Amino acid sequence: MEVFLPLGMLVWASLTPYLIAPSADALPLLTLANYGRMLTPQSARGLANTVVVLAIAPLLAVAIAVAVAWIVTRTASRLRGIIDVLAFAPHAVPSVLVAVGLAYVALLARGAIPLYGSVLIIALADAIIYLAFASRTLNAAMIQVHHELEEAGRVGGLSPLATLRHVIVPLVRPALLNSWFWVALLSYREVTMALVLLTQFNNVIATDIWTLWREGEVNRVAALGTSLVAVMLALIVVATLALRRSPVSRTAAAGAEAAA
Amino acid sequence: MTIRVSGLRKAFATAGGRIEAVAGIDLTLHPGEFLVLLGPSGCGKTTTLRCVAGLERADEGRIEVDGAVVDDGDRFVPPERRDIGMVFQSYAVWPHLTVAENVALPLTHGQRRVAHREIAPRVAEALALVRLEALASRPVTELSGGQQQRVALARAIVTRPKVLLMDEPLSNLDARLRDSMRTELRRLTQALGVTTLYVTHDQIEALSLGDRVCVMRAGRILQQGTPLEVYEAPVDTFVAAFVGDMNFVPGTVRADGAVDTPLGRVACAARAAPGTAVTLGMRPEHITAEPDGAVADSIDGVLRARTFLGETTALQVEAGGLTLVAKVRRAPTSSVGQPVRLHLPRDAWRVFDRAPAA
Repeated sequence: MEVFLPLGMLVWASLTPYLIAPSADALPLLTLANYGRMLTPQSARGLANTVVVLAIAPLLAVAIAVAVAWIVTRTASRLRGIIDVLAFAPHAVPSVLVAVGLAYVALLARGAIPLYGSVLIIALADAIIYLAFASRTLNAAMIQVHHELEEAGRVGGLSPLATLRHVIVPLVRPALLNSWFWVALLSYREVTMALVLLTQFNNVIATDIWTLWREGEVNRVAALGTSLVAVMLALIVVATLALRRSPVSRTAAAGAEAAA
Repeated sequence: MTIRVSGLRKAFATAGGRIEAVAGIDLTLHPGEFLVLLGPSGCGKTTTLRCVAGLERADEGRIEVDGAVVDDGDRFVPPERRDIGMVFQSYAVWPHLTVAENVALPLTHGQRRVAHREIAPRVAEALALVRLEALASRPVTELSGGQQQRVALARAIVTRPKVLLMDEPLSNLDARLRDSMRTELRRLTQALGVTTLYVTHDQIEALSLGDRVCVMRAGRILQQGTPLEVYEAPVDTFVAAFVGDMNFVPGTVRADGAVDTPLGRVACAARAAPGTAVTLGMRPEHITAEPDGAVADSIDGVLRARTFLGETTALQVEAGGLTLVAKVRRAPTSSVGQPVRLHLPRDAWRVFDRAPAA
């Protein structure tokens, strides 16, 4: 419930021409003009960049997390402890520092890799920071896949990679979707690193909100913010429904049976 | 397809230190043979099987399949490149797939994949062999345990492997199902002519399925032989007690070859030096209950318990300070607490040169 007070105020502000306390007297002032002025060349680019971030960051984080979880839970590699710590370590570093460090690296390497100032560097920063979320989720899921299910693949002639693809990944699919979605939402609203890494052309919706706020465009901030939240809520509903339809229960039941 | 295992050793690091699961095993499987590794849990039988499968790497020794080395410390062929099929104790069917998809996966994405048009007939053939054609399109998780194990079997043979490995495949099934699956396994492996290595702790499975049985203990093979040899002529008291039941009687060899025991003098012709401490053994089913006044090789005891088992009756008889178990077809008339006379035929005694295993 606590989230609805600021959210309600945000919605109210997005509908008024200037900041005014909610009251019956103010009702005639309500307008959708802020929403109409939301789309500018600047915010259009922010939207496009956000889509790029969402296309890359969660996919990258989940892909690395699958590899990490597989090594940590399914192999006897001596490096698995180190890899597990490395995947979790970003939690120990404030994201603003990760962004600063990444910016320096990208500046130094800008001759070789044109990463600095692009939207890709924001996606990369998100993937690094949120890898820990995805890898913990997938570790937990993968450790529940009975090792004989994997071995059955190997003796059936499937290579380790084919076993991962056709046996393990389908079995942890709910966790996969879950962590993709989680990282996507976190990346969508992430502002700290995006601001540190912000240059002229790699603005995202979150930084647009910040910029507008700095410029005193309080009511446009509210409109943009309300839209951001509306999209997130819609995504959450869609994802919840999608996850409910996936064969979670079937897999979990079989896993429990195999483990017994 | 011959499998030759020589000098196989495998140890595991555990919290309690290094445990040598397999401590030097030599084994040869001849083409089409059904070999059973029998032993209590922790005897190394499953580790041996997993080394043959390539799921474990041997520490020492060598494994050859059809003359080609698959593991000798330097060379190691991973499981997917060995021409094997394997059935696991937990069935290990893939819960996200249907019955047919489970059986098809090795053909579609394995090293031994086949042309696309061959997949459906091969899957149908394998499912027919395990009598599951009717359930092909069902999600595998809707099947019973016995049916899931059939799926696992179909999946193991669909690639037509030269070697079939089975790790306690029946031990998760209930007793009735286990009996029928046992018969079916025998029929199937004979029909396919596949070389089979089978791991179990169940002596009935071992005796009824195996062409040959290897009794294992503490990482070593104690005895190899046909089921009859292992049952009739166990090399020591451990094998004797593990493969069936046996009554053990301590004794001392006399100069004439007979043995002095708490049951009296037994004329069993022990081939040991006079004065040697031996253990005599007799299977419960070799003992018969005699009517009063019977002849040689008989002892008198007190009936302590009787259990009607249908075809036979199990008797517990106290004699000479020992408790003997007999499985008799014709039960004596004595009731519990009354004297009973048992006939212990001298030919049925086995002589072991050690005390019975704890």
